[in-house]
Amino acid sequence: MAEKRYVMVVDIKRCIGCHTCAIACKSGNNLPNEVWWNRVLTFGGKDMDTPHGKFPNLQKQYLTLACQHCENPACVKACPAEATYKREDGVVMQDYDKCLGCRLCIMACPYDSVRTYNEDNPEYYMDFPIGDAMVEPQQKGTVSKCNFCVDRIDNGLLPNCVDVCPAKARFFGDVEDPESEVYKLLKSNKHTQLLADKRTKPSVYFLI
Amino acid sequence: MAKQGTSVSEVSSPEVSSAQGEKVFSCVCIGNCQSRCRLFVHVRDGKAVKTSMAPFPDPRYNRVCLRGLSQVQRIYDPNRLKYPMKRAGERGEGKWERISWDEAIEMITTKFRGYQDEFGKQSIAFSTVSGDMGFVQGIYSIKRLTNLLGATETEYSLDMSDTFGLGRVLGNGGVFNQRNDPADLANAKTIIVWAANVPDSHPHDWRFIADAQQAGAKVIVIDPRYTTAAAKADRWISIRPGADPALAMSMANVIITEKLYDEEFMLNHTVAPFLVREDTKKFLRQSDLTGIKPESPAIPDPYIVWDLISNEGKMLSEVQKPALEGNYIVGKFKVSTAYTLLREEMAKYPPEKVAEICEVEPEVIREVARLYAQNKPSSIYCGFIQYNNGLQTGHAWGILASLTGNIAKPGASVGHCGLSGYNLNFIPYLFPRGMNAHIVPWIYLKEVLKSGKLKGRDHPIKAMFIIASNVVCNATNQKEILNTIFPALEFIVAVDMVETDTTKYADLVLPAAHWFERIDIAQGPDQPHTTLSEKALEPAYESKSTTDIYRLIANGMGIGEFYKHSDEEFIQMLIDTDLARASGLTWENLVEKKVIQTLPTCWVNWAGNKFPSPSGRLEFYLEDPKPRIDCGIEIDKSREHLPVFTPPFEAWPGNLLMKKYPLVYHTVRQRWRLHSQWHGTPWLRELDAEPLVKIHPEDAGTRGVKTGDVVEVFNDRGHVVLKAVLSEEMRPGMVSVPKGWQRHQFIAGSYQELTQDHCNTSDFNQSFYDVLCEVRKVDKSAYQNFK
Amino acid sequence: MIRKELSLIVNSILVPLAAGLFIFLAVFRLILPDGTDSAPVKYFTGTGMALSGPVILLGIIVSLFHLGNPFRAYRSVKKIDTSWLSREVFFTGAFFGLWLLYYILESAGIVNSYVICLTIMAGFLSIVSMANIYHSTGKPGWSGFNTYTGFLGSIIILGSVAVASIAVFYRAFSGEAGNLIFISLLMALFVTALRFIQQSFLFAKLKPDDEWNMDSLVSGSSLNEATISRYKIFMIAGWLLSFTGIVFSLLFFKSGVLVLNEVFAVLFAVVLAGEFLERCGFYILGPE
Repeated sequence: MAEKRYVMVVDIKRCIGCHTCAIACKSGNNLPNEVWWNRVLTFGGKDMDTPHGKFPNLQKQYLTLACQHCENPACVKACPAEATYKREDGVVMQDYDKCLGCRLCIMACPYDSVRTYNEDNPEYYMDFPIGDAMVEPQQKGTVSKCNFCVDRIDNGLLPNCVDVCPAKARFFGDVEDPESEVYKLLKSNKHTQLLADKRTKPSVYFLI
Repeated sequence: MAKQGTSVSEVSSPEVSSAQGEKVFSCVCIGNCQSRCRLFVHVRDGKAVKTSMAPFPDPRYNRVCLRGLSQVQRIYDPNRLKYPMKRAGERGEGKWERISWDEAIEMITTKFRGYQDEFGKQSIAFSTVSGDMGFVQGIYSIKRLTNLLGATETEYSLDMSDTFGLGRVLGNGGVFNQRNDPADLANAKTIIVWAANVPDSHPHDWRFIADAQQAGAKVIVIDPRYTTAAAKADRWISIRPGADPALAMSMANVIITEKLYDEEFMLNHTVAPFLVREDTKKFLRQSDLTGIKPESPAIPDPYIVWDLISNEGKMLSEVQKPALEGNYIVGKFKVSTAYTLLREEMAKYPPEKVAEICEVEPEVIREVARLYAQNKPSSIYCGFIQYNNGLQTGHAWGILASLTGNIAKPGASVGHCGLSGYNLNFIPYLFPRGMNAHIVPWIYLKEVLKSGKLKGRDHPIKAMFIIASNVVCNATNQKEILNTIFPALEFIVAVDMVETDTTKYADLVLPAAHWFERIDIAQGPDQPHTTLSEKALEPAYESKSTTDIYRLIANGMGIGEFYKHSDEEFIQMLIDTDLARASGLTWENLVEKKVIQTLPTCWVNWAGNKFPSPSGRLEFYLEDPKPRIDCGIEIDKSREHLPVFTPPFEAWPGNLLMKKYPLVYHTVRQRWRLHSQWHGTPWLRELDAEPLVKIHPEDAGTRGVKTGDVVEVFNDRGHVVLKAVLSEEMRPGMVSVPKGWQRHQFIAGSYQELTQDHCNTSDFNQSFYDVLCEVRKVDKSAYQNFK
Repeated sequence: MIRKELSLIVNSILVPLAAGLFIFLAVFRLILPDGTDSAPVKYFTGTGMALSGPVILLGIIVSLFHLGNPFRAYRSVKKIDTSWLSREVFFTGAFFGLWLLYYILESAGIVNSYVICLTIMAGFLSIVSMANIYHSTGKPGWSGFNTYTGFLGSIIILGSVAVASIAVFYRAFSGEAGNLIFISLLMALFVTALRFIQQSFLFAKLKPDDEWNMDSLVSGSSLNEATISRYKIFMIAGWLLSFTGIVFSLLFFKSGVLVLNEVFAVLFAVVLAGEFLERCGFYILGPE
């Protein structure tokens, strides 16, 4: 029997850069102020929401970026403390209780700013914890990042960022299951991975 | 292969949340984005901790956006108004005195009674726009109070130029219900997105356009700016700002010239074969020939058409083969078919000529017209035309649909979407003692205040009660509101959840409950459901629900007996119709299921080509054009039977003002706010920290402006100081400033100081983009209040 | 980056310094024939090797400040199989442990060549691991051979100048010992030459990443003009200082004139500053 491997599929053609996934992540995971596990990058000009090219020959797309949950994760190799590890279902985890705060995972990761280091005590706008009840509180001096909302997927729910997508551009599931939506999407659509040449085998696929 | 463990299939599950000690309520994000998304509100220890997407019965309608998911920060907004406050200093000075609800209501009702006794019932005005679209708590319910008090109701004068232009062709006038269900866009083969950045303004409609596109449909976006919609489109047409009616009429020209029209549809479902009298410009009717008028307007007076078989004018019902074209003499009348007049008028807009107006290649105009007419079904997804010529644009869209029959079919519709209240019982709810309110369009209010007259009669207004509206921030010509309109009012009450530009200039401020702190129902103009919004939380601080505020005022005004109903009883009063019951909409069902589909999936408007116009046909020729609102002002009908290209009022090259202010000024709607709501939401401000003016690098270069520079955008009416971003998305010759930021969020001024409040007496609409400006680099330290 | 990673920068100067001191002097001892083991030479090698231990310890202590959770530092050797940081921590610990053993034996008058050799290896591998942490990230500016000449070069540069300074202090710069010191300074000069060549190539290669593709957008290594100029300034300044310090050390040694202790202290400080700036420059290329 094939093992389970969770993957995320993002349809770049459909993505409208609305940031709903980013807010869903921020809210559901009770992320501290200024911390964003899932970010929306403008694939266009230098500034947000600006295009590439010269008027009127322009191009603009959006790209959501979070931990790519690589099959061959550079961060897990680099972590000296077993704080960064990969679950059997492919989810790359960060154990706050084991994290030294050495930030080598940040250095080793090929992707920009998918992790945040809580240099000080995490700050919040509200004085009570919000988001999903099962979310583990963040700690000072540790690194945090997207964990595919493990507590949700272990309870049979989708990650916070997936079904909220207004453009219906985000999909999640077990790619080893031929019945799954993600399996079918990857089978029948042209897709790419980010920084595939780094040989980390990301588990986030982008339909192009 | 058996799946291990639980499957990952659900997005929100009240069961899982309940198991973790949460109470989950079913609410509606009830702002005016048209989506009315269902939200689960998760409450732990008496506090809302999360909002999540709650499903609709048909999952294709499932929806939520970044604003709905930020609601927790709206409930616990640091700027929430906590208790009633009375102005302690000058208006706008920001000095307040906390008072009790009793004192506040006493003050309001004493003053209101005093004004009404001394100056007449109309002397108090109730003003609302779209801040709360719940039927019981929102903008509808104020009509009950206004009508009971016989007071003035300020009509919002928004999004009504093209809407009315197209609405006159359809026959339903100034209402938003035009297009089919947005889900029906997926059935279209050609979609023209005209002046709308749908991904930002209606993200839940865009998915259906994307579906259509994925299935092979062609998507064309007409917009001066390279918006996200433009980036996603198969074709982007950057039109000169304000040239839209010319482009639409040129498309009609191409369709006529190349005979791409649907003659069958035109003969049977439009006024094309109707004969128009040369003398009166009205349709020739049976009574014109017989000289006998019907005894009452309820008795039809048949239209006369030209019978090609017998070569004479006859009643429509008697003619097998009516003439589409031609000039005839029937009886003593010189007449032409309406289509003939249309053809002659549209002949003035050949692509070669219009290309200069629109700055769009003639061949592009032809290609789009051919696609629209031939690659059917086609839909035109319209944005609001924010220039003084929106009326003509809407009228021209109606002509395009009339020529091609791209309407009233799956995949074929035109205009805006806004089917709401279709099965509700409004009469006892809104007009318990009849329609006694005096309607004054906001755009005309200044005139009424100046002259003290409406329709020639005295109409003094002394007080204004503003609710679910941040008019200082959102209406045009802000300084005129603050320097002319407000000073003419002796007493201003503003009700809101948070401090806004408007509450700052009020005399009395009342704290409103958040949407999830009271019960209501909603109907989605953008989806086919009726939804219950439960009370998930107690009103925070001393805030009160709208209905509770109305109850207190009604008691003080001596009309308390009309407010004895509970909120639940008001809802039951509203849904007490056969139409509602037929779709399963009953109180018991609503309480149990929270959401009921009350319209068919992919509903089609005017199915069977039954249009709400007097003739039941598409009236692309208007025999008797009337203004949208009767303020007793005559209009020049000769320019409105058929559209005549009218340049924008201000933002057009012919205007000498362009020498001084050469840039067209757009105030754009972005996903970070809904009008001015969510302006202070911390998460959204982390992503979108401050207002930025976008300018094309060419225009910036000649002004020495670089990205990040502080600039002043200004004209004779006012200014706004903010940082600039250079972007190629901007068409050279225009700038854009985001809508909805409050005054204190700019370095100085406000984006709304620059907009103009010219009153077009046909459509009574605010033209937000019909504005010119200039940009100059400034030293930010020159502005004292820079933070 | 520099402010945030200051403890790492200091650590990456101190440990190579300790390694350099120990390795050079241990090698001197092994090479120098017993007969020439004059008292000054014995003093200066013994002092130098003894000094390297406290320097390692200082380096380790400083590195704890880099951690968000220093009390969990014991966990840092959990992943010797894959993590270069685990390996670095392991070898640095071993370096210090073996040095301690060496020191105790030395104090007891026992000279054990195996312990000395193992200490040398641990010290060297500690720096190799340190370099590999960065080299393995694949970031531009970090993934080349320059990372090795940077970190391993520090062993030679700092080691040789430190040895020379101590030798001057003990007036042990004549004869065989003097020749060895001279050779080690020449090695340092060679390292600066190597670095010069490598940096010239790297400077030419480092360009702002203005390619328009998705990979550039999402990689943390997209460098901008300002970062590259800052990098160049630090590298040039660092190189100039190290080079100057080494050249003057060589000149003084070659001339054979008696120089004041203070002069070599200054030269050592100049080289130390040079290496510090060079390392700061290196970290500028890291992720923010």
